[in-house]
Amino acid sequence: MHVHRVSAENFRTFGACLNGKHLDILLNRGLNVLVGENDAGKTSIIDVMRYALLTTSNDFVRVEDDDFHIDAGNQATELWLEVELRGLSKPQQAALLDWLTLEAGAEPYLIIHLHARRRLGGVGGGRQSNPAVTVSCGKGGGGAEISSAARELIRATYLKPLRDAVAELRPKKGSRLSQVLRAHKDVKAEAENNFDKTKPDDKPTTLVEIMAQAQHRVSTRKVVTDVRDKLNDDFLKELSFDATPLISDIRVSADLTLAQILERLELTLRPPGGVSQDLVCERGLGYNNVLFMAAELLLLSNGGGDELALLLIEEPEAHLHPQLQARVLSMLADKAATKNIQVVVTTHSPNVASSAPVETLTLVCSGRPYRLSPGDTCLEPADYEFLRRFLDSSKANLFFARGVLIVEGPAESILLPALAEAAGRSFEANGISTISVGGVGLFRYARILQRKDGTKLPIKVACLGDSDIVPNDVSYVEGRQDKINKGQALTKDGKQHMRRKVADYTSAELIEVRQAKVDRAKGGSTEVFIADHWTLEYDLLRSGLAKAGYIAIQLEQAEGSKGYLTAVEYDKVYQEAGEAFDSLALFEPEEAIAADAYELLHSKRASKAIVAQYLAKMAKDGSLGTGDALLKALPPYIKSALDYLVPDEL
Amino acid sequence: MSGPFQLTHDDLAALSQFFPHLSFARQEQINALLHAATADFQAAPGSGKTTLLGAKLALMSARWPHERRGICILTHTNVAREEIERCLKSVPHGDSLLGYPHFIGTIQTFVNKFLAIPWLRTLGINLREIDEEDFADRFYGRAYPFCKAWVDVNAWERATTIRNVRYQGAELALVSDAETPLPATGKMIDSLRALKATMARDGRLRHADMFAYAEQALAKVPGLAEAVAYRFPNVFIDEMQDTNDIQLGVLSLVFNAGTIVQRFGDVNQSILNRGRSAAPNSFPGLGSLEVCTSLRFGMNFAAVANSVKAVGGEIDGQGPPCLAPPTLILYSDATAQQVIARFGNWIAGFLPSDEVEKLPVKAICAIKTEGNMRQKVGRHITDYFPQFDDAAAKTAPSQRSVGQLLRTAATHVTSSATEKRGAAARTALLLMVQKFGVSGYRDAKTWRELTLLGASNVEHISRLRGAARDIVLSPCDVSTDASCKTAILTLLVSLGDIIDGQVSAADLPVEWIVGASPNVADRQGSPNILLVETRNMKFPIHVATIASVKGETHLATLVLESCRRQRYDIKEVLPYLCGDKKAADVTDAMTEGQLMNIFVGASRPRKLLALAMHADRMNDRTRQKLEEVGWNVLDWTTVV
Repeated sequence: MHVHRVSAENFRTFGACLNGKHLDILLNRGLNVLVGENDAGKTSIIDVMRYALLTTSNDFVRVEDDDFHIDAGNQATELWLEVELRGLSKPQQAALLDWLTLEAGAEPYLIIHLHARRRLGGVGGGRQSNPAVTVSCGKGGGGAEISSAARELIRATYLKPLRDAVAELRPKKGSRLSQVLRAHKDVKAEAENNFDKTKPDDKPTTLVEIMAQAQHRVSTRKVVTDVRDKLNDDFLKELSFDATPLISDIRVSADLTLAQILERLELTLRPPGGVSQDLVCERGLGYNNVLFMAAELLLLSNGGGDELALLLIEEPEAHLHPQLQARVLSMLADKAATKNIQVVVTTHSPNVASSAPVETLTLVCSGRPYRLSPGDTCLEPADYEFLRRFLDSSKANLFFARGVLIVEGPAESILLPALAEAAGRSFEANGISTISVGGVGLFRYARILQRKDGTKLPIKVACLGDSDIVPNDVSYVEGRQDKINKGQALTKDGKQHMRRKVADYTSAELIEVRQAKVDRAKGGSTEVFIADHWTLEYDLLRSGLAKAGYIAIQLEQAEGSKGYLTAVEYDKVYQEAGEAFDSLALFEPEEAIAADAYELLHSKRASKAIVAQYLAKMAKDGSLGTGDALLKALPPYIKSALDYLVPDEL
Repeated sequence: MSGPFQLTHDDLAALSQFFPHLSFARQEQINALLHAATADFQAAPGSGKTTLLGAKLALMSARWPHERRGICILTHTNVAREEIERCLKSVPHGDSLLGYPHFIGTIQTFVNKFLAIPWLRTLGINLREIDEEDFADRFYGRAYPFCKAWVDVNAWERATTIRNVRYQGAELALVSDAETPLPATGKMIDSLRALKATMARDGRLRHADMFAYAEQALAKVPGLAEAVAYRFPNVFIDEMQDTNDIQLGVLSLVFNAGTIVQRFGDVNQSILNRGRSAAPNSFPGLGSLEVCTSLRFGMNFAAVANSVKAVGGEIDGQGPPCLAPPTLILYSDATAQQVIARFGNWIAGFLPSDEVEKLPVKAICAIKTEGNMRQKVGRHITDYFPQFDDAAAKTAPSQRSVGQLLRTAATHVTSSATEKRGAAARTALLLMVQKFGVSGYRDAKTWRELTLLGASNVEHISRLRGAARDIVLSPCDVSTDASCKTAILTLLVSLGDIIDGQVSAADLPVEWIVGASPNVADRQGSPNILLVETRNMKFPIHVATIASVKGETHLATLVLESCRRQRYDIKEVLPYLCGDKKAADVTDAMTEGQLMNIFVGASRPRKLLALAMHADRMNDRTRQKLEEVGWNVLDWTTVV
């Protein structure tokens, strides 16, 4: 049995069905990872399940007045939550027979429907002001009420965010450990008690006998009997009434039942290697958290019973270092697949998101879930495996942003946020992530954010790419036309020399080539911006920032192999390079200056990343100008990209 | 789970604690209790079938190993269900069988709850309260305009054909249980189908339709039958003889070879033709177990019952000795209407007064009121008891009479009393709102719909609930037609603006009042009770039909002769009572039916049995033979 569908109307972020603002999300049988920025609705999805199914920890959950959706200042008076459970085994179908939904061609399944109405006061309002809640079965709740018998089978296991694992693991009534132990198939035999006080040294054979023996030995120690007798004789006797004497006893456990004994056991982590195993050594919150999750997984997989095996974990990354986060998620994925446990995780951790199989991710944006499973996105099924390897944690930022700028290399990812910030279109303030994919071909993975059903994700994606067509006046690149002009052979080793320069194409072909690059990724909320001329740096040298670009290249050259410039050196180079550029500009056309300056970068004698660093520094200290002035100076394609991602408020 | 659930001799030891006043020592009882496999149990009247079933269930519940699989106990009537519930409540662990995961109820309820109703929900049909009569009236009323030509050929029979239309099987084929079948094809049948479908969409269905929908659900939902069968590894069916093929058909689709089905009943009290049923599920099946010992009556009455019994072994009468030998009363035209009273005065002479308090005395007759006027006296109840009121004898309240519903809400006394009473009160209010409510409310088909409609208006909800509460907790006076009308009008007023305008007594539909006032069978002054008063004793004699007293135990029973198709039942069975003919040899349905009626009548009393017949239909030779086999013949032909 697993949760197949979760839906809700007028619940918190989720609005009315009428205008399509309600919640309707399908879940996978195994692992589900809900990612998205804060307040997107991840927790609300979890809470629909908690409210409708209740939890094994019996925490107090009920619909409150503030759970009702507010739309344009009006708060809804009614809401409903619905959880559809499918894949019931035969015993589960039988056990839940009284509540099943029957549908032609489908195995019987279960719908839990919670309906709540806000009390508006007035007649009959009375003292009670909590919403009136009914939970029944069937679509729309037309069926029988859910009784406690059904409840026992459909509880979810819920781990709240920032849980206190240490407290959860402590021995107490109904502790997790006792539940795990009690679920073991051989536990019944441990309840046997044949302990005989007259033969206290016989070897005990069960847990209860071990405790009975311990109990017997404890209660015959002089220390214990002394204290007990003193307590009884000197104090309690005076406090007693004749008919009801107060007599105390000191025991290991008040009651020697197996249940009580199990509740006295404590689950702890051994001290780390190198520390004596007998020492008490409190391990960190993080490790205890992992232990806690392990216990929950064991309980769910080990029951083998008819109960719903659903684990809801909010922020499993809590208290864990990044590598451990990834390992925890891998384990969850593995157990979900092999132990038939359904796991639903919410996360803000790129580490968690990146270590989950992409198809298990569901992006939650402004109250709408977007599953990333094949069939839901425009990504080809074959691309999934690759995308998973490709999604290291920095790229997984994609899922937590309000907008994404996908670029080809490190230079862009260093420079563009700085330029945007200086131009008054701050990425940081607007929740825009920059992701470097290293090659324009990989832009197609932006399709993970495009929906097959044509809906648009509210995450804007801008892909920024080079045109890869070299301007004609760049002499150090040889195009096909150049070869022809020089009368050289066009083929080498059976291959034709590549078309590389503008002159190699007709104007129609140029448009076509650019369009092909755009089409690789464009769609949904994704737009592609291709360099107007050639590359980012070249286009900068052709833009209003040509001088800055020129200076930055000179700074990079001055730094050389030393790797840094002192402030004095910096100022000096900055000054000199600026003057050099100004004098060049008097005689040379901008194309020639740009082509010359760019040669260092093209031949890899200068590092694009370091040039970008210097440009970013200039952007930050204001030497590139600010606001609209800077925006206008930018290469047009970059300006367009910024305009798209962070539209001007006015 | 390994093997079927098996009781052991150790378990039986507990019975003496559970039932200190009963003995379960007889071998046939022990066999029945320990039998674990699928079987039929043919139980004689008074053999303690219900107690035996209760005992078996009590023992099973004490050791029931499953948490989420249950025992399914199916009965034919709610009365039988309540009897088993009472029995279970009296023993430790017994009440655990009354809730999840077990089921106890009628076959109809079972099929509705697990199959038909969830399926109707999927089909989008919002079921209304099922009312057979109402359905037949509406259907006929709407069908007649286009069936007129066909019906009028033989209005008597063909009207019944139209009125009895129902769905059959998974394909929802339209059929009718009547002498004249529906035409197989043609415009009319198409129109009838369309009408039936329209009424179905409107939630108007009959009980038999629910079985058809259940079959449809089983056919269309993969795994459903297996799920139900898995849930109930053990099934008990009580009053098996009264189940019909439609019911058994659906049950057999659900419960497979893996289910243990134990069926209890007495085929000799079957309303269906005995020995005739070729149906694969007919009762009792081969190799059935018999429980022949009756603790109700002694050997004299057992001998009478055996002489008119068609199937199974001899009943062994181990009950208390009778106060008088089986008695045949002869009356004349002049004394027919005095027979019951005279019977009362006669038995008052020797009935122990303490027992009169505990067990009823009943005068019963096979035929209610219909009959040929030209036929001689002795035809039906009203020949003996002219004031007999059939409506008052009905146990189930009509779902159309607000008056009856109000009374049920106020007086129903059973295990599930409040639930029943609440349901009746809600149905009554629903009827009122449907008839007189403001638009919007008027279209509500169920109470739930009504409350949903009222959800936006807290005041309306509390008014409806308040009215329902008042009906149950502060019963209104419905003892006369006038007071019933007043009560309904008062309730309408209390509903305030839910009701559209002012309603006067004249506006109330006639059927709302029908059967409201008279009918309290156990109330003093009920029309079907004759009060016997002598110097030292005062007790009622209940007058009833034979069909209505099945399963009952009486202190004394008077069986009144009746006539069908010119054959008087007691006269017909005299050769069997004398031993001249063997009941087992009978093959014609008519005689079978009459023997069955006399069997049911003769197997009711504990202490005293009398049959009454017209002296004209008796001859000296037969009278002599009867006396030879132990009958006491009384001549009450002259008026005293």
